[in-house]
Amino acid sequence: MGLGEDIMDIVGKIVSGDFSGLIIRQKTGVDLELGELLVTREDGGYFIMQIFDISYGSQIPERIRSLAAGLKLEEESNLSFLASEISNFILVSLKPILFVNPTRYHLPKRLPKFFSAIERIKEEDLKFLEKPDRPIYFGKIRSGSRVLDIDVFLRGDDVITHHLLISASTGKGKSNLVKVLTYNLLSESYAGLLIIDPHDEYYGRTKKGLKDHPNAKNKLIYYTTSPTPGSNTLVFDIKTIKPWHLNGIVTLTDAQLECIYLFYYRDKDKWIENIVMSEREEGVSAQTLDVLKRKFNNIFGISYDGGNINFRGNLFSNNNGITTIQNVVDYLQSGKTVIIDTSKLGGEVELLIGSIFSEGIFSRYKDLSSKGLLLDKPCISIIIEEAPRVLGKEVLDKGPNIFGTIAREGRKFRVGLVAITQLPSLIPKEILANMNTKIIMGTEMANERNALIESAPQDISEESRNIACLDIGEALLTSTFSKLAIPLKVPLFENILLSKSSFTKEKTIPRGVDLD
Amino acid sequence: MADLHLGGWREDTLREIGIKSFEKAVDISINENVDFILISGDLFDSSNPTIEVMASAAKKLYQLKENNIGVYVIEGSHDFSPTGRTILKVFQEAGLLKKVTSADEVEGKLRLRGVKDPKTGTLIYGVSGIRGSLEKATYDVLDRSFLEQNDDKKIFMFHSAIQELKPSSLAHIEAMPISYLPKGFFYYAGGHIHEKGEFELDNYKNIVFPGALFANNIDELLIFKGGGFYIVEFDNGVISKKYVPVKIAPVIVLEINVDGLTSFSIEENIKNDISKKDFTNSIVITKFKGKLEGNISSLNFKKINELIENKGARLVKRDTRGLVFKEFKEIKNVSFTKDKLEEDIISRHKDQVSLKGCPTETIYFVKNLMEILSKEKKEGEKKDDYNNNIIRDSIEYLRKLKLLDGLDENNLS
Repeated sequence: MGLGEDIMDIVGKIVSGDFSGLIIRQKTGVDLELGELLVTREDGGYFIMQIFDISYGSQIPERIRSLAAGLKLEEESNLSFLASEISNFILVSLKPILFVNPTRYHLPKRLPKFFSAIERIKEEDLKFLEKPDRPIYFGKIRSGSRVLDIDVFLRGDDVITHHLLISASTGKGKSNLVKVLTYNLLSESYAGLLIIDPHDEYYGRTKKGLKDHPNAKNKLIYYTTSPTPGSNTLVFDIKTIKPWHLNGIVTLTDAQLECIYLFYYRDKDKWIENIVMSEREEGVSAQTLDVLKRKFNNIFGISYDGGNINFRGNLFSNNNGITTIQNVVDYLQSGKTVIIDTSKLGGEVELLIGSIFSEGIFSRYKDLSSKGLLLDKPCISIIIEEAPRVLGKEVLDKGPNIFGTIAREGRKFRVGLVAITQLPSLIPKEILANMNTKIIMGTEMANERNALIESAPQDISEESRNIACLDIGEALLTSTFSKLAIPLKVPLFENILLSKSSFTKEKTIPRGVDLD
Repeated sequence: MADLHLGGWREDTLREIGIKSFEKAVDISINENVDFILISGDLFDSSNPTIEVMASAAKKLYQLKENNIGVYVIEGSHDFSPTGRTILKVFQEAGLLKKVTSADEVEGKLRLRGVKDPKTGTLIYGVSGIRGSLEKATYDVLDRSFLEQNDDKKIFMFHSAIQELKPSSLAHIEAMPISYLPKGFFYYAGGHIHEKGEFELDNYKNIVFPGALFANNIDELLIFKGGGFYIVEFDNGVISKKYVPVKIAPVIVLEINVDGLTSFSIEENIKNDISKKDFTNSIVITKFKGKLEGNISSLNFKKINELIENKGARLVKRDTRGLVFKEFKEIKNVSFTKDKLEEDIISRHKDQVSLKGCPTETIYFVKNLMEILSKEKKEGEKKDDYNNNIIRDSIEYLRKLKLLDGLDENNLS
C-alpha cells in the first residue's frame, strides 16, 4: 500500500481515551457511523475497534460559537471561522474489540499508539474469521450500515446446545433470521430442528419457505392440522399423552394432579379416557372430576356422550396418531428438521404440543446419554416463538415445565432452545444467562436492551444506543463461542433462495403404476 | 383382503396353510355372494412364485371367474417387480384378475385410469406398493384433483403404511402421510400392514387394513394367531364392514420356563403340562424363556417336538429368543425375518460401494437386483433361456435406473 493510499484511507486519529473508550478526531469530509468497525495498524498486527458514540468538538469557546451561529441566523451574516475544519471537528468514541496478528487474534490487552491513524475496516482485515466445522450461518459482517462480504459462522453444535436467544421488536426481521438460520441448517447433518410454528410461516405453504431447499425432500418434515399433499397430519392418539406433558402448561390444583396420577398409575395409557368416562372415583371429589373433564374437553376436545368417546376436531383421537410422538422424535434424532404448524390451535394447546415433542426428545436423549450412546447423535434445537409464554418468570413461578428444564439442563444432553422474543426482560436472569448466544436485533425499549446487555456473553455495555438504532435485518451477535460481539446483516431469505436457483428438481420415475 | 403372501413360508405345512387360507376366503366370498374381491397387494410372496403356488392360486381365481366375481388387484412390496414381469401380469392376461394401476402421464401429472366393475359400476383405482416405500414418488405426481373431481362410487387401493395410522409396533417402518391419498373415496382398501385396523381421519372415511390373511412370520403367528378379511356392504350410501376371520389351524403358544432346570426335567415338565391338552391340527409355538444351564444344544428339541406332535399338533415351531444362557448373554430380541436380515447385512456393507447417479437408495437397489438374480429356474425351462432371462431382466432394471448410461449394452451380456 503506497503512502498516497494510506492518507486516502485515514478517517481519523486517536486523540485521547482509555480502555473503556478511545476518542478519535474524525477527518473532515468523512462520515463515520455508529457501529462502524475501524482499524489501526501497528507493526505485527492491527486493532479492530467499533464506534459507540459520536460527538462534536471545537477549539473555539462555546460562547463564540453561539454568537457566530446567532449572527448567521439573525443577521444573515456571511461571517465564518478562519480554517473552520481545523477548529471545529467530530469526535468519535471507539471501543477496541480485537487485536489481530498473523498467527492469532485476541481481546486487546493494551491500547493502540497515541495519535495512531485510523482506517475503515476492509474485508481482508476479517479474513481470519474462518468457517468452522459443523457451521451455523448468521449473515454477513456489517460495519455501521455498510455490509462486508464476509460470512459469519460459528460452530453450530456448540451454539445450538448452549441455547440461542433471538430478540427484536416487531418488524425488525426475526422471522427472516430464523428462516435464514434454519434454511442453512438443512444443508448440514449435525443437528435436528424442531420448529414450533404458530404463524405457519416457515414451511412455505403459500409462498417460498424451507420447503424450497434442495434437501427439503429428505430432510424436512411438516406436520399440520390441515395437510397439503405429502405433509403429515398432526394427530395424537390420546393414549400417548402422559400426565407430565401438562406440567407448567395447564394450570392444575394439587387435588386435580392427585386425581390424574391416581388414574394414570392404575389405568396407564387409558387415564384420560377413563377420567372422562368416570362417574365417580373413590378418594376423588365429584367436583375435581367434573373440572378435569371440562379441562380435558377444552384441551383435547374429548367428551363422553351416549356411551361413546367423542373428539371435537382431529388433533386428538383414540385411533389415529399413535406413533406421532415417536416418529417426530425419531426424525429429530436422525438430524431432520420438523416443523409443527400450530397456527390453527389455541395458545394452551399449542404449548402443550410443543411440550409433548420437547419432552419426547429430551427423554430420548437423556436415555441415550445414560447408555453412553449420545455422542454420535445429532444435537437438537427446539425453536419456540414468544418464548416468555413458557420461559417467563410468571409461568415458571407456577411450576416447572419442560422448556425450563431444557434451558437449565439441556446442554448436558445435546438439546438446546432457540428462544425468540420481543420481551427478553420477562425471562428470568438465570435462564437468560444460560442462553450463550444472543442475536440482538433492533430493540427500542431500554429495559429490554438492558436485560440483553446485562446477560450478554461479551461486554456490550456501550452498545445500548447501537441496539436501539439497528435497522431491519441488522443485528448484533454475541456469543460465548465468539471472541467479539459481531455486528451482522442478515440477508433476505428470498435473496438466498434466488442465489440457489440453480437447483433443479429431479424428474420422478413413477413406480407402482402401469404406464403404456 | 391383502397380504396373503402365498408361497411365503419355508415350511411346507405353513405354506400350505397360507394357500388353504386363501382357498377358504374365496369359498366364503362365493358363499356370501360378493360382487367383487379386492386384493390390496402381496397376493404372492414373490413376483415369481413356484409352479405349485401359482397353480393353486389360478385354480381358485378361475373359480371366482366362473362365479362372475371380479378380482381387482394391486401389487405389493413382495410381488412387485421393477421389470413388470410378474405372475400377476400373467394372470391378468389370462383374465383371472385385473390390475387397477393403469395410468397416463398428463401434463407432468400421473392420471390413474381406474377400472369400472361392470356388475356394480364401482370405479376402482390403485397404486401398487414397492419395497422401501418408493411408491411415494408416484404419489408426489399423482393427479389428485382429477380423482377427487366427481362423486362416483370410488374405491382406492393402496399398499403402503400410513404414517398417521400405523400401529405402535410398526412405528419405525417407512410410511407415507395420509395426505398423499386422494380425498372423497367411499372406501380405501389398504395393504402392507399385517395388523387389521379400521380408520377415519378428516376427509378420509372407511380406511381399512384387513391385515394378513395368514401370518407371515413367527412374530405374526405369536401376536395375531390368525388372519382374515373384510366383507363390505354398500347399500344406499351406507357402508357396513364385517371382519371374517379365517382359521385353518389354531395357533397355540406353549410357554416353557427353563429357569434352573435340566434338559430331562424340562422334558418332564412339558410332558406333564401337555398331558391334558389337545393340539389336534394346531400350530404349536414353543416359547422358551428363562436361564438355561449349558447351551442351546442341551435342549432336545426333537424330543420336545415329538411330545407335542404326539398330541396331534400339525406343526411345532420354536421361539428361543427369551432364553438366557449361563455362559452367554441374552439373545437379542430381533425379528429373524429373511427381509430384515438381508436389509441388516446390506446396510452394514452398503458404504463400501458407491453407486453414482443411482436414483434408488442402495439398500433397495441391492434388494431388487438380488430378487431378479435369485429367480429360480422353472420346471422345463432351458438353462440358456433361464440365464438369458436373468440377464435381460437385470439389464432392463439397470437401464431403468439409468445406471447403464454411457455403456455399450450389447457387450454387457
